[in-house]
Amino acid sequence: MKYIYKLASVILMVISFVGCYKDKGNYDLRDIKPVIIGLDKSVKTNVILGDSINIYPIITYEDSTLINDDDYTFKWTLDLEDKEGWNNKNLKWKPDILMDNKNLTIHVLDKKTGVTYVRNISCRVATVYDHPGYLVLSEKDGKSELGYLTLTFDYTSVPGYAIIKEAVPHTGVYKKTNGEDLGTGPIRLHEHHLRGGSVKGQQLILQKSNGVDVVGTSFEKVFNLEETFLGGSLPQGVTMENAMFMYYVNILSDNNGSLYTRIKSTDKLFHSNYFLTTPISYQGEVLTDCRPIYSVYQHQKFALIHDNKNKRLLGILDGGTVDENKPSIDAGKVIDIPAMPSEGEPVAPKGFVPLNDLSGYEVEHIGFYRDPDDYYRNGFVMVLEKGGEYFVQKFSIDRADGNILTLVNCSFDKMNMSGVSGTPTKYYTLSYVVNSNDLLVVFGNKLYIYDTMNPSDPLHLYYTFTGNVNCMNNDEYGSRQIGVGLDNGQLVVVNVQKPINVPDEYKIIYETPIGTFGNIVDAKMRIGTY
Amino acid sequence: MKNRIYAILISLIVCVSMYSCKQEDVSLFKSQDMLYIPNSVNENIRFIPFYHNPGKEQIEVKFLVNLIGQEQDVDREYKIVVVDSLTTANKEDYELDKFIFRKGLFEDTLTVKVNKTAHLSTKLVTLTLELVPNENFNVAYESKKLVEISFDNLVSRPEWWDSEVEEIYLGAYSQKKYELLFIATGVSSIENLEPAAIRDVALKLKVYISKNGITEDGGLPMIIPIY
Repeated sequence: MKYIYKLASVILMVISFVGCYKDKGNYDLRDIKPVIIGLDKSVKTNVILGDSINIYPIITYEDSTLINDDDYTFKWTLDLEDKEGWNNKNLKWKPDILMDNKNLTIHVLDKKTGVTYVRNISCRVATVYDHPGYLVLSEKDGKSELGYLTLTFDYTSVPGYAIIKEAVPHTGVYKKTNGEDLGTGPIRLHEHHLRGGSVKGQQLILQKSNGVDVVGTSFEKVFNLEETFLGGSLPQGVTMENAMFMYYVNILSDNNGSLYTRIKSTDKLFHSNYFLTTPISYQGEVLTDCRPIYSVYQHQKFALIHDNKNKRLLGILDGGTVDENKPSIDAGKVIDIPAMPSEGEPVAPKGFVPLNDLSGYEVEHIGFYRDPDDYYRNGFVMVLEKGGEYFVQKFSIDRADGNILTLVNCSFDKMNMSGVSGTPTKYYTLSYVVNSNDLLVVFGNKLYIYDTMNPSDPLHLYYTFTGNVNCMNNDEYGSRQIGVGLDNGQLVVVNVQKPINVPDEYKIIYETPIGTFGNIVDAKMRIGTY
Repeated sequence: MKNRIYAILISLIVCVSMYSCKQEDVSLFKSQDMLYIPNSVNENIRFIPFYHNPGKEQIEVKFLVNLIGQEQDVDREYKIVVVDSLTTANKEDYELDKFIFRKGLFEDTLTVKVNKTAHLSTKLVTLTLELVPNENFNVAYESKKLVEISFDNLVSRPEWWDSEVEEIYLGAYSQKKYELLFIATGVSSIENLEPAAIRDVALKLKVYISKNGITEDGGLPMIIPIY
């Protein structure tokens, strides 16, 4: 019995000691009332530089009753970085820098519970030029000028036709942005791209005084062209007049038609490595009187070259590798273009001029289009002149089988220009119109549509402009709109529709006042990204 | 007896105490300046291939010499001797001038001239030099007193002509192509050139080969892969 008492005493003592432990439990419980951060649907966070971003969040409890602001503290962050003075419930901010895809976040701290609630909203601050439209290179008062026509289209109000909701011409944008004159002797615009991604292309501006590369969405200067050459200067005494920049191989041609290349080390940068000042050679001869032909290159991976001296067409390979972010060993290689379709392919029609021997013909025009049989295949339209007669020759170059090029879909026809006096002054191929057989032909200020599939009655006047046509451009997939630049400074956006007898108000989508841009030498619809 | 022992002990203590009181002059630290040749990253060893330095009959080879001590306001000569046991070069293969450590410096340059002599086309020779004490300088470290120069004029593939250069720019190495590179472009090494400059050099060589109808020995085409 004594043992039992002793045992009980020990147990009681142990329990008593346990009872001495401090109870650290938290019994001060409160209910958390979750809050919901609402944003007005009209809040505008995609703004133009200079505009303000104003956000008035509506913060409620789950039962939709508004919170008492005194019970909370508020903070806004930009990509989770604190900003001075951003500690109010409402955000009123005038951004002073350009930005894309940034996050504005409101942090709502419940003072009683210490719980923080957040809500993100993405924002973008762009220039007024970061909007679809046409770049315009012109000459005004003896100087080069860069202009931009921003366009907002309405594709639904009039079925089948695009009309303009808003158009704003911006003049002198290079000087406004960079605080300096662009230069003199404007020649050409060339947009170049990175592979993939969302970064919009940069614009290379070629002119007699110098070449300048600018950011595509702000027109901020990136480089003078000479900075892209090894040694920091252009070859002695030449002007770069034409360009074809592919992902890896960039080509420039000078006023003598010599070609200069740069092999970029990556397709993820607009500029890497340098152009060489030594013009490229082929078969032991320095190429001269050559010019690159603009076309898409993502799939075929080469640029077409017109070698006028040797009366032939050549190609320069881009040499891109998809799997590796570097150029392949054949980047920059000059290749022959097949003269005729190879054996096994349909033979070329009678009269088809071999592409390795165009002698006897003057090449008036070479434009590219998407082959109707294969979207990834480039077709080309040539206008050839011989003894006052004009011929249209079409062919597609297939490069499906590695480096083996074959000619397909060849045609050759004498052009029927009857009924029109004078000689054509400009041609344009509608590059991105599927199944288009239309060639645009200009006589001074008159734009004609030449239907290559209707040789008996192909040429039809479409529109008469207020000035002579200096340039035409359509770089939008599937679009029949072209920007037409006139020597009187007017840029006209034309809807090249069929039938051609549509009313003029549907043909002309928009036209700037005469004199807006000076003497327009080139106009390009901005493509954006590839 | 005890008294005697105490007396001896006291005497000893007194003697020791007296001895410890002996005054000696304080000697001043006065050491001769010392030199050494840095060698922690083998900067005391050089290989000079005359074959890869076309057009050069003599090449100056430079090494660093460092001072431990006080900089002086006068130039001071230091002594370098040839280590015969570690040298296979002939006397006409090199030139040793006076070696001067210039005033005001803690680091100077040791310059040795090596000559392209006829027998270098058949073998590699070595010249080993040793920094030795003289009236101006001692040697600071036994392990940092030697320089070694190996030089030849043997035909060999330069180290920079690696697999990337072969694949992209210059193609397979051959002695003939390497000699043409210098003749066509004036460039004997593309080390440290940027890619565009290497392309420029390679294309100039390519044009030269094409214009002159040059082939590899045996008639095989001399291929430069870059475009």
